[in-house]
Amino acid sequence: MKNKQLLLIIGIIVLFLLPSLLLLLTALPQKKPSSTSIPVNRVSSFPTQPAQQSNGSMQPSLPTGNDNVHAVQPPNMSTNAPVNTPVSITFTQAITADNVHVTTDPAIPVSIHTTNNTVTVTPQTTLRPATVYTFIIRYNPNLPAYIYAFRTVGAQPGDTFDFPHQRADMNDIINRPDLYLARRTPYAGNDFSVSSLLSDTTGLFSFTVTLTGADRQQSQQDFLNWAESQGLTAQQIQNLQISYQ
Amino acid sequence: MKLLVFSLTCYVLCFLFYTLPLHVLAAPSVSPQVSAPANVQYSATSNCVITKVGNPNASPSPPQGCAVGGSGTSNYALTLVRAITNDNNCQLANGQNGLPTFSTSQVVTYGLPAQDVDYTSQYFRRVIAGDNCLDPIDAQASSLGLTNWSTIKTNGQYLNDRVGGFLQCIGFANAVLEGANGVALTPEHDAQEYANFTTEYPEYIWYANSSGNLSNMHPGDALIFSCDPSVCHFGHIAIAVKVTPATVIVAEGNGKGSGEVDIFPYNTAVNGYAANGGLSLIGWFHKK
Repeated sequence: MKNKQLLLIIGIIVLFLLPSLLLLLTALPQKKPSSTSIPVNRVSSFPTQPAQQSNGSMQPSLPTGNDNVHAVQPPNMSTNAPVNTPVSITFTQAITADNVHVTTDPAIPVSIHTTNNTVTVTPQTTLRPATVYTFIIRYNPNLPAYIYAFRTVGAQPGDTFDFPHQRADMNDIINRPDLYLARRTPYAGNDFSVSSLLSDTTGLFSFTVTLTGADRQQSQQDFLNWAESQGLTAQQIQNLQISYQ
Repeated sequence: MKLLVFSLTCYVLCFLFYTLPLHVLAAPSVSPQVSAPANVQYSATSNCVITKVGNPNASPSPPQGCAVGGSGTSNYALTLVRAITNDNNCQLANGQNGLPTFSTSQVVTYGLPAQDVDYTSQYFRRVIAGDNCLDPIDAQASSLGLTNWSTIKTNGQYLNDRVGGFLQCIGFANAVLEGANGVALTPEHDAQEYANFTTEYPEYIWYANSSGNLSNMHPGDALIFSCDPSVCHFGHIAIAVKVTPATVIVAEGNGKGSGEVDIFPYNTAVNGYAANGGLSLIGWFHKK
């Protein structure tokens, strides 16, 4: 009788505890390369053409940096783009041509052509070698712009560079519009100027806009248009701390 | 009856095992590799930084006790940035279309008090190995307070540490650390790799970025940035010169991509490796 009870107890343990232990073991974390952060990779659509680094080595396909962008050419954050290349951005859905606005840094003249879900930006001048070009591409007035950058050919092979400014902008245009816009100040337009101030207590930026035009309302609108041209949405700008004087 | 009670107990235990968050049970509690800094020279609310970038003589002059070029790694970093951005021999960032109106009236005011902080990304000078753009600084390095100049520049150990290429972020950061502290983060690694070799530098304490650790970030610290390693190969390193709860302003080299030296604000949020390839602050080294 005692043996039967013992077998029954062992059976219960096997039935219930063993699966729990197995589940526990499978959930143990794997060894990570860094002790600080967990990489999250939810990028599914990469450009199919692998990018070649300036030192000749191949690098894996690069993410577009935006879920609404399917592919770009030259690849985003690549370091050996030709100096006479058009830029092609393929979105996941059709784009309205009227919604497409492009700002470049350094400023260069470009022509923009939109067909269905593809936007082609063609520089009107030959690009400078070994120079980083950033494109702020607005394609939907209700979404922050797409930040896209590459460096043209010509950098030395030992040069290592991961586009820190542009990668910071990729995050901050979504999560920290104040910081994103502050990076573009001070700025002076035809009828306004804007400066930014960093708060010691909050760590957030506020903005002071000086309206210099005869028509203050137009000057204010021109400032808002400039802020939107930098890639922020009207809603994001509305949420910033802005004082006009 | 005893058997029934025992069976029920087992069942309850099993239920608990299944329903408790497994990561709580499975993940060991890893404390960040931190310890209290020995001699904190600055605090986040009273850092001693007021300067002008672009014109070392511009007003306002530093307040008492905040001599630019004096002691302190962040002051050293700012002095170095000023010396380079004020050096007409170094190339403008935008080349021929650079900054035709660059003048002393367009200096960048920077530092405390917060309401006076201005920042721009427009004022850069490129440092390219072999173009001798740092030579004019040689004569005034001592008066500027750029100690260890021969180490950080003349023999090309840091400021020209990639032969033939642009000044690198680690070259600038290590020039500051060597000049100000006498100890650089050597052996050198790609910037984001430093987070994997934090114990190689006994003169420095490593703080992993977390909301609880931000109070341990101070001007002069060497900040390490990274993003998803599947797309980022090098990361970034920069020297903090102003620390606030959500934003840190740094002095850096090659943040823009062509060997530029500049002042730039970064987000301190703990993002981990952002899914879109965006940059995140993952930790920093503080001189003991």
